[in-house]
Amino acid sequence: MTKKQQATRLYAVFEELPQVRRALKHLGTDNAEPNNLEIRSMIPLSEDLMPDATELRSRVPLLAILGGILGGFGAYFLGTHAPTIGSQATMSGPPVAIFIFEGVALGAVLFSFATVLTECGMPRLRWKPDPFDHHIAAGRIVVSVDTTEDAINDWAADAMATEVLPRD
Amino acid sequence: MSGQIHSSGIKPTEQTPESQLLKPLGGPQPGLILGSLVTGALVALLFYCWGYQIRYDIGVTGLSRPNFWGFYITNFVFWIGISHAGTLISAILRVTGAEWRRPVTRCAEAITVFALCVGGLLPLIHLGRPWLFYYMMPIPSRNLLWPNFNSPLVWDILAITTYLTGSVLYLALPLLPDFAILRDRNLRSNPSGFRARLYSLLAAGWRGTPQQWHSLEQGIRVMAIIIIPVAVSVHTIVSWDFAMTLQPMWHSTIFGPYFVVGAIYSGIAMLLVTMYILRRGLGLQQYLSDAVFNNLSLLFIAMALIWAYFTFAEHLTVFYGNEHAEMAVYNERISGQFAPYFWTMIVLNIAVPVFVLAFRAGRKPLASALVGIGVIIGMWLERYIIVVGTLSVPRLAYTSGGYQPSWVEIGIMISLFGLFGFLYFMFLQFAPIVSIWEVREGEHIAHLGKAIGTSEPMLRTMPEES
Repeated sequence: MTKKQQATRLYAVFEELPQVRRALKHLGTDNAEPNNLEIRSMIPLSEDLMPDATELRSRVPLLAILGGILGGFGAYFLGTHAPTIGSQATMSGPPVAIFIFEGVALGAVLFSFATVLTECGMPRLRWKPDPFDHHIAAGRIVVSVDTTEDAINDWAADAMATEVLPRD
Repeated sequence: MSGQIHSSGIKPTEQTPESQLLKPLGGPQPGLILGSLVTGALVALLFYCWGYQIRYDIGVTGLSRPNFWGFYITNFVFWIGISHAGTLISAILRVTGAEWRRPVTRCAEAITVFALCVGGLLPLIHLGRPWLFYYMMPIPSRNLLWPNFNSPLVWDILAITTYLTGSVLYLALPLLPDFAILRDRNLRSNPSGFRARLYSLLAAGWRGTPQQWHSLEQGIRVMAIIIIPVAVSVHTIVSWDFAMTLQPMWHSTIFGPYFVVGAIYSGIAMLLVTMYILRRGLGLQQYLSDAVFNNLSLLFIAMALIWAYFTFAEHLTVFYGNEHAEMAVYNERISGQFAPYFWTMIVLNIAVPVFVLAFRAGRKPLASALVGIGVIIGMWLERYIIVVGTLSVPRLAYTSGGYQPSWVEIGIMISLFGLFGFLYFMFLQFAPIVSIWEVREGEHIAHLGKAIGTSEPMLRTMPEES
């Protein structure tokens, strides 16, 4: 690949899923690296569209459990081991279960939300729109990949719109 | 920008039903403005009444011995119950994969958040001196007070805080892709406009990549599972405000589930009424369809029967126990000063829903919404009977007495409905009340099911901003 070719990114808009499937199949035989491939849509698409190397992972359940444990401990110590100050009640047993439960739930919810944001790379305050974002908002599918300009006509032949931009 | 345009863009497509969803977000709508003004006036009434109470102190209410809890606590329990409409129902429908949930979830979740805001305000109003509220928080106060974690009132704070936090985040997560849709549409039509900037901020950089969708769906699923027991705990703990005392007809072991069932019941009633108003006001017949009302009404009638069972069990047990103090409260309900409220409640909460909703015609939008209004009134009466009924005839006979709400309490009660409506009208004007991406996903799944063995499904495109 030449230096110029390496520095470009191709965006292609597809109206229908079969077109995306055909494009991805064709792309698999080209030189595009799967890691640079990105498929974006306004609804979650089936995972069979993803290249083999793309494994979708989420740690939300795991971190929700961790958040729950931390929240439970936090609530327990808040109620029973707070710094002794005036007129502090002596804790009886059963109420401890109640505020530990609420602490567990609060911790799990907060950690779940934070994990989703982290995994999504959000919040992205310095976000810049990609050229075909409005197509996604209109229900179309945008595939972008780092590739050579010569490859446009090969795999994106079915696309309703394509654009080549310099890579960031 | 160096690049080549292979195709100049997209052909303008025909108007699709999403236009109806986006209509309230496109600019001032007369109906929404009128609704905002009317409910806004009620919010002004709230500030007037509350300000008057703060100025002249809690003595301006009808609260006096033995009725230290009156309209405020009645409305607190009522609004916390209403909040069970959304997040709990939405979470249950999501976890069970009910496809008809898709147009319902967001308007239900919004009810939860705003009802909790209204409900959470009432203890502050009831406090009389709301600036002392922080004594209830686990922070060292100037009087060296620490919350008494043995008290159900402190559990209330923990539970409502958890539920409100969870509900807000649970509402916010599925909003991200819709905010991104609105961002992209507004950036195309008016890149420097206020809405383009607002939605760019709210979408927080959502791009719709597979990893983002995967994480979002995991997050929604996990939060749905967590939120169900939290919602149950909230109204259970509210019921324990009563059940942990030794007052007659409060000290009941079934109060927790009884309150939870009543909360879900009143919540569905509010959801039906809200959905009907949205359907008529915003022309959402395609989304909030007859089928959705029918399904929700079936759930509604089931809750009516469960609530009837609990009510019967509660009163039958007291009647057979024949304990003196409890029978005094019981008799006041059945044939005494609270009898008109009690029997109205029975008619509105059991007789009318069962007889109307049993027929398919009764499960049409208008009929089910009217039944819903009746149940909202009936459930409010139930809260009133529980709170005021027992305190009027307490265990210690020498403190018996009556309760008459003052104009301040009545004004605050009415204006809180206005506050709820005002918040809802505001929400309608900046977020799609039906989740666009979830409805689209549902259509995609439906097409996929039909397409098995034949052809691939197609994604329907939306009209773009001109």
